[in-house]
Amino acid sequence: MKGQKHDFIPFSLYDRTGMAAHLEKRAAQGWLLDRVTAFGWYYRKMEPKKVHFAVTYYPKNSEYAPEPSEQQLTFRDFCAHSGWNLAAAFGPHQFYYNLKEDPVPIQTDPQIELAQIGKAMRRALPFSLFFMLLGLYMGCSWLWTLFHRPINLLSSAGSLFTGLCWLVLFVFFTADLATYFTWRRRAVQAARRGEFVPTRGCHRLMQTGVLLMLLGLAYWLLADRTPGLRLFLIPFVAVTALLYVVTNRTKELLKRQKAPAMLNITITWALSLILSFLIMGSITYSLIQGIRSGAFSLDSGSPPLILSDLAPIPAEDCEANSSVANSALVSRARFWIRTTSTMGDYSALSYTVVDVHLPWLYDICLNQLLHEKDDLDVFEEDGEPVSHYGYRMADPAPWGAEEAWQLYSPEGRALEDYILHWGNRLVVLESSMELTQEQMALTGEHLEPS
Amino acid sequence: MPRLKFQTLTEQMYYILLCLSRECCGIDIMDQVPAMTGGRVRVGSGTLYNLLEQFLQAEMIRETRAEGRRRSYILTPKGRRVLEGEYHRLCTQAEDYRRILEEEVSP
Repeated sequence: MKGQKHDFIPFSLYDRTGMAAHLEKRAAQGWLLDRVTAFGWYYRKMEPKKVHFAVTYYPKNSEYAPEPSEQQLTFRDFCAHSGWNLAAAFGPHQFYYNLKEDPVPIQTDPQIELAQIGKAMRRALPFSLFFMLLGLYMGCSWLWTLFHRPINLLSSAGSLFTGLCWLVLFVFFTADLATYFTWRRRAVQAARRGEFVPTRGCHRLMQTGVLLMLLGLAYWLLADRTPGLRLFLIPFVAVTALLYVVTNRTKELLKRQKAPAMLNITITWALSLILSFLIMGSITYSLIQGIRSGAFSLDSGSPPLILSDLAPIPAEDCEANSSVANSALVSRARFWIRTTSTMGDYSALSYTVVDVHLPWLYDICLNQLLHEKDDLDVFEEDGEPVSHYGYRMADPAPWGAEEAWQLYSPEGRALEDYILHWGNRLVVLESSMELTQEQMALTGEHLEPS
Repeated sequence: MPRLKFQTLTEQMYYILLCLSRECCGIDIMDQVPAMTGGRVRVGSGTLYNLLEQFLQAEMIRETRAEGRRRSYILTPKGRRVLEGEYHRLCTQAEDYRRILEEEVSP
C-alpha cells in the first residue's frame, strides 16, 4: 500500500542496538515505525530525517492485554517528558523515538537495563533451550541416517528438508544463546564501571536459515515425486499459514473488544487447538476417502518386472505394492510382488531400484546396500558377533550387469538375494524362487536402465 | 565483589534521593537533577522510573500524592539514612584525598 512499508527481520530478543539502528536507518529513508505485529514491522511515510530510536524492555507486558497497564502509561509519561514518544510495542519490547538532536537516553544506568533484558530473556530461555535441544537431537538423528542410511535420506526431498530445518533450528538457537551469554558476561563487567555494551544479535543467521528452509520447502514441493504427497503437503502448508492468521486475528479482535488477557489467551489457544485438529482430521479424511473412491492413487505405477515375466503365473493372480522416493540426488523405487493367497504355490519377488544421479554418491549408496543385512541373525556370544550374513562378489554375466553380489547366510549358504549394478543404477533383488540363468537374463533385461 | 543493593549509591541514585528530600513529583526529577548539577548528571526516563520503583519497594521513599498518573514522593527516614550514609562516605573519600595530597605537598 502506498505510504506504508513492511519488513520482517527476526532480531534476537536482546538485540536492542540492532533494532534501534535498523529503525533509525528506516527513518533516514523516510519511514517511521507505526506498529509491530507477529507478521513484522509496519512503517508510515514521513520526511526523511534523523530520528533517535530506543528499544526498552517491559517484561510484564502481555501481547494479549487489551490495553496498556497503569504502570506502562506512567512509564510512557516519563519517556514523553524527555521527548521519547512510543512508536509501537510488542511483547516485552517498547519502541520509542525522539526527534531531539541530543536526547537523554531512556536508560542511563546499565545495571537497570541489564536487569530488564535479563528478565525478558529468562522468560524466553526455556523456549530457546527446548528448541536447541530438540534441534540437536533431531539434527544428530538426521546426520546419523545420512552417514548410515544415505539412500533413505538422499532419495527423499522431504527428509532433506526436515533435516535442514532441524539443523537450522539447532544452529540458530545455539548461536543466539551463545551470543547472548557472551554479551551478558561483558555487559555485567561493563555495567560495574557504569558503561553500556552494544548488543549484536543473530538475525542475519536466522534470515539465512529461513531462506534455506524456504528453498528446501520449494525444492521438496518441486522435486518430490512421491504419489499423493502434494495432495497432502500443499493443503497442510496453506492451512498452517491460515491457522496462524486466524489465531492472530482472533487475538487482535479480542484485544479490541477489551477482553481480559487471560480470557484472550484461553480463547485464542483453544481455537488454535480445535482448528488444528479439525483441519488435520479433514485433510486426512479427504485423503483416505479419495484413495478409497479411486479419485487419486498412491500407487507409483506398474513394476518394471513382475512374477509373470519370470514364471508361468498369471498376472491377475499376483498382487503388487510399491513405494517411490525421488530427489535430485537419488531415486529409490521399491516393489513387492507376490502371488495371492488363493494360489497354491506361494511365490514372491521384491526389489529396490536405486538410481544415483550424482556419480560421487555411488560408493556410499553401494556401501549401504552391501551392509544393510549385516545385522540379520547375527549370533552373539558375550556381545561379540561370531558370524554374519554378507554379500560376496558374484558373476554379473547371467544378468547382463556390470557387477553383481550375492548374499550368503552365516553358514555359507548362497541365498536368492542379489545386488546388481548397471551404470548409475543399483538393484537389490530378493526372490522366493531359485532363479535360473534364463530368469536372471530376463530380470537383467527388465531392470537395467533403458 | 558484588556490592549489596543500595549499600553505596550511584550518582543518579544519590541525586534522585537528594531531590526527594523535599516532596517532589517523580517526573519533575528529570529536570531537577540537571539543574542541580549544572547539567553534569542526567537521569534517563526509564532509569528514573525503575529507580523510583526500587526505592518504593525498599521503603526508602513513600508516595505522598497522586494526581492522575502524576505521583509525588518524599524520602522516608530509612531513605534519609541511606542518603546520609552515602554523603558521609563521599565526605570520607574527599577527606582522604585532601589528607593524602596535603601530606605530599607539605612533608
